[in-house]
Amino acid sequence: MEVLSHLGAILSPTNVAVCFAGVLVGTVVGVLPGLGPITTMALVLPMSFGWPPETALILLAGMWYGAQYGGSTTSILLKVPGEVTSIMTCLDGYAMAQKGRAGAALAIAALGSFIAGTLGILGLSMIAPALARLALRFGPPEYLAIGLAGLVLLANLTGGNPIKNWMMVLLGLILGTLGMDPISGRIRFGFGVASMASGIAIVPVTMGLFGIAELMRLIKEPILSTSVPAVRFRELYPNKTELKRATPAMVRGGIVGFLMGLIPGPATILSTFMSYTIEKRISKHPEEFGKGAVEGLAGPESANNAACSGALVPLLTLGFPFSAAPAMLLAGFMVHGVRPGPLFITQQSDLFWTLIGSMYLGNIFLLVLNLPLVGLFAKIASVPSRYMIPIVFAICVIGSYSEYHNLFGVAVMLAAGIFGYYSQRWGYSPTPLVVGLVISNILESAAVQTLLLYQGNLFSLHQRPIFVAIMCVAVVASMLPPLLRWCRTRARGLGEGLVPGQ
Amino acid sequence: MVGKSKGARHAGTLGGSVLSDVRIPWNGRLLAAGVFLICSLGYVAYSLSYEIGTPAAPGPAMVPIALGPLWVMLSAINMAGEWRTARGGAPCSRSIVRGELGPLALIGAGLVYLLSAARLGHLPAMAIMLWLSAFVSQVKPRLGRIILVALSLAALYLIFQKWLNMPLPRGMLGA
Repeated sequence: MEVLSHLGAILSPTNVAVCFAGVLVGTVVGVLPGLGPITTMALVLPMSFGWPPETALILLAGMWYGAQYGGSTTSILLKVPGEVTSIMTCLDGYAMAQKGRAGAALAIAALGSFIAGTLGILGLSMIAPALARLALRFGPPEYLAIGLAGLVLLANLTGGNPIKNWMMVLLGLILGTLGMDPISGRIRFGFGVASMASGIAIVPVTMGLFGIAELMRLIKEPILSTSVPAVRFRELYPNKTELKRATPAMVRGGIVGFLMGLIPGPATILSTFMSYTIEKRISKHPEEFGKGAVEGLAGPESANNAACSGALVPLLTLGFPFSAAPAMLLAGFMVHGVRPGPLFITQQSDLFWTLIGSMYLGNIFLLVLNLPLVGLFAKIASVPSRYMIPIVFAICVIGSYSEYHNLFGVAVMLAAGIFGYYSQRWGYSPTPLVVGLVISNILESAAVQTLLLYQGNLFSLHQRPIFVAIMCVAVVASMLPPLLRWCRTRARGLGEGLVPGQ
Repeated sequence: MVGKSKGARHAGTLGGSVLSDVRIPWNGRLLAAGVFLICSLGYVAYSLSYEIGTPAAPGPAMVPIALGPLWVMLSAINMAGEWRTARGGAPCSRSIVRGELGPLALIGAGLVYLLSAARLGHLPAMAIMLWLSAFVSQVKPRLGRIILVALSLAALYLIFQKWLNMPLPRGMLGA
């Protein structure tokens, strides 16, 4: 195990403290409805400018997977999902709490998260080096194809109207073209603003789209304080039957979550739906689902944690983030001058294995934190949102300012906030925009390099089998959803036609 | 089929011979689709001011010219879809617009910081912004608001200026 040879760095006091702080903040953020891990990662990113890369990345990653743990607490106790990834937990988790098994439900959620999280990290540490070795064979055309295929899948899987998702992907890519052209060095769309030379930075945009937009929503629909049922430590013991039913579901959830995490799109959310559906389908008691089935809680709760590790595979091996949280992690890498990709694991193996090791450690911290402190975390959820708004807003303003070292960042953040607030209300998801913005430069460089490599003759690309295969996947992925919709509509039409008397 | 509704007073009437009888209730979705379409057209038009180059030697406008028309096309499809939906829907009422004042006031607080930080300096501008945002988010009573602003300001000062040494705007007051 390569990770063991980096124990010194993993267990250094700074890294252990930062890992603990990251998962603790992540859990708190996960508990609080309204403040998500992406906003928090964006808030913390400017603070981490002066830190060593491993410290910053351990903190950011800890916040992300920590939030997956925290989201379950309010779902089980209050039927209020702290995160969208905990929506499925509300169904059976809350039903278990209503039956007086709140403690057992919380323990199963924490255990499932731990087991699946550990399985996911194990999968990541086994698959990532192998995939990175394969990716060494990739040239600019393959990178271009992977990026395009990822964006196609992202636009189709994000949910809602695919046209709107595509528009947001394109808007992200277009925002990425603002500023200096990577080839000629010329400033594009500068509009005479000196700060535009460096382009539109990810931090103010993310803070605006996720943070400010969320604060605006909280002002419109404030979350009032709620009374949280008390859970004592001695109540946190699932009985033998519950454990026997939950354990296979946790393992299945872990596997499903990890595999779903590899697919571009909102993997952490989709994995919970997928896991719930699988558990219900294979269960001997499908009638119990929604009424407190242990598998219905254990599966999805495990899946969302494993999906985090799965989503890190394309980021660490190819340098492509295909959802918002890995995009923030990529921003963290870039801020510290580290470029994830095929050479990352070999050339920066210390950083890679320290990050992986810290994730194992973070999972243990989360288990230890979540079981005894669950009552405290539940109490945090009862803090009215109005006290948070001014503080979070001020941190967003300072963070955006620090990105450009002038007020341009604040202006970008406020504009992104208004855009994020209204666009989400009118059916435009911000995630494709953030991903498009983050990978815009990578894609543009790959596209231009491909054109230069083939002297503008793109037809010669058929000689590259990996490129052709990935592009085929992209084409099939883009055609499949409208085709399936068409088939469903047609089948429904035929079905209605068969009804006698119609 | 539209236009006889109660909300027709708020509906925008389109000119032109073909569409003269069609009344479209202007709702947010339609407005957003229109803004997207205008922005996409502006982007394409502005892209043309840069050199496109050739496929073998791409210029700075090569990628914008590839992306822009695609964005225009999708925005037009989206606009058409929203148009069809809006024709059968209700217009945006004044009460809905009034409900947006709170969230927009938060942006107003940010604008106050944006406009005053360079002159007043970070700390006074931040104090005003915190006060305004606490007011907008209905932190009550007034004493509680003062305590929240004072504590937040002190914490932010200690974290960002003292601990992280972040360079923040220094106005004529030097703070």
